[in-house]
Amino acid sequence: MSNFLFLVNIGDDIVSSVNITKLVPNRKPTSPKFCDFKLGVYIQEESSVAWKKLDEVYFDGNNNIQLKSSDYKLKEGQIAVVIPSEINEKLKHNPCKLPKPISRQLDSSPVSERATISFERKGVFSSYQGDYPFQMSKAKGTFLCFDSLVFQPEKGVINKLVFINIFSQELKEKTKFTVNRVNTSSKETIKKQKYVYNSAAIMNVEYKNDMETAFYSKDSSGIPIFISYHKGFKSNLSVEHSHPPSELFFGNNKFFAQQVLKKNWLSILP
Amino acid sequence: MIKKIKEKLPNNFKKLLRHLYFFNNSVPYSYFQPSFDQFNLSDFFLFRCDNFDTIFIADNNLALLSAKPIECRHIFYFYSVSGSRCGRFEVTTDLFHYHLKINSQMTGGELIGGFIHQTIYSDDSLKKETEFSSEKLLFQHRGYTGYRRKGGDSYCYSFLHGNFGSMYIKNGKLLSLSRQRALHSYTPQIQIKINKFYEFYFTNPTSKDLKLDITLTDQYNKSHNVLSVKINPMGSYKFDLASTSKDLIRNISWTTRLPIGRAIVFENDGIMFDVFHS
Repeated sequence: MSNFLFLVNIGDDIVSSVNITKLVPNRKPTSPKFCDFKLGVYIQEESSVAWKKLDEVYFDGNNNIQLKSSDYKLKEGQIAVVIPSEINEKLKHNPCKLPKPISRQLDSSPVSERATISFERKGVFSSYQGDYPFQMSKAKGTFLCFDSLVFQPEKGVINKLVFINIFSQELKEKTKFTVNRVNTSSKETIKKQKYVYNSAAIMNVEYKNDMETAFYSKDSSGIPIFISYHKGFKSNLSVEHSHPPSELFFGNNKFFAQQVLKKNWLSILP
Repeated sequence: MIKKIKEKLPNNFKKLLRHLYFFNNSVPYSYFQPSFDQFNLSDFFLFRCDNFDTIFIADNNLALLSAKPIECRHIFYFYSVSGSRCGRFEVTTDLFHYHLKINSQMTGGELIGGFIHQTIYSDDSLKKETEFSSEKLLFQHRGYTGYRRKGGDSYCYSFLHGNFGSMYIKNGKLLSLSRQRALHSYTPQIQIKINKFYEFYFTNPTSKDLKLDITLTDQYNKSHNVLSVKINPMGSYKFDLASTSKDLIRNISWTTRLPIGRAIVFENDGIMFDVFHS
């Protein structure tokens, strides 16, 4: 398993950052304590299918690296893909597909190849342990999640769905995709947001106490992050991603069950 | 040679071998699973009724699978930091999600501790909606826990998804598929910030005492073991860390016999807080 990380500009003066350490995330006490690597930073313009390398970042004697979206002047909805890479790997300037990230697993200890992905607004931070699996970035896929993380009954709280897509393989063209919010009872569409491969769809999501809703895309897979904050006050932020539907199941047939669940929903949604 | 032997082994036997300590001492779960009716698993979640409001978003797995409302009996079991049961709450609804506001009445007056989520469906609906699967379908509850500081400037809940546990109730007793294996050293991908107050919550989802050793690493790469404790079975433990500019602490690691030994972290600055899984 190896995973990408990402920075994103979601507007509203919110800055995203990636924090990562060279201390091995999970290891046996007899294995090395450190794993040295560098970070490649790539972007793709909305209308382009070529990647552009923006940066190569090294630990330079420190144990930790922090990258910020504001350092790369990203446009709203634009993402920068952060790729943990071997120190000696030559990272191309304009590749047509992204290099595969390294794994930081040194022994049989299970490692989630994550970093702390933080969002900061008016000096207040919120974070989660995030990643984007390389395996997921190779397939087109579909997306479905529910609105559990939108439960914010206080007036004045703004919720945003930030739907991240990374497609690491070669693209011939960029098609406009749509992520939708629907009422799970009536199946009526409440909101739509356009996006393209290798970008973030950002949707303001109002909490409705009398309605359960779902988000889906029949065009691509992606990772949904939900961000909440109060619009008027200096309040705490909430940032978390929702589980993929496979996590509702345990054991050998969890991915088969996910297929059935997605088919049941996507076949009845507009 | 070994590869050829492996190819000829039946899948179930290969899975059993992978779970044997001799071949892999990092498998987080037991090989053997119970097969009683309505068996379902839950992560081990944290409640805080001290100076926080806690809310839990519980999934109705069968309704979500079937894309239609199905009546579900949600049962929540609460455990004190020492691992003894302190409360139970149940509710029946056909919604896709149930929002549980946790209060100290539910937790038997305990202010902090762990809890799990279990579901029961009618045998008819369970059989009808899962008949597509030749193997028995196991539901897992990973839910979302939201925390909000009481009476302060916290206008919104800060949410966490479930992380680890695989716990269940059988004949009224709390059990778990989680197992302790070899020692593992876990380092969260965070940098300790200066002038913050951290609370690290560790839970023990196993039936044995869990030994926890915590190490802090400073900016000169000097590491100091600062704590060694035992956490009761099904219990929890809180480690407090106040970071100052004097001690130059940058990273924290811990060693346990859990192959994935994560913690829930509250990062506080006195007014605002951030909560996340390590």
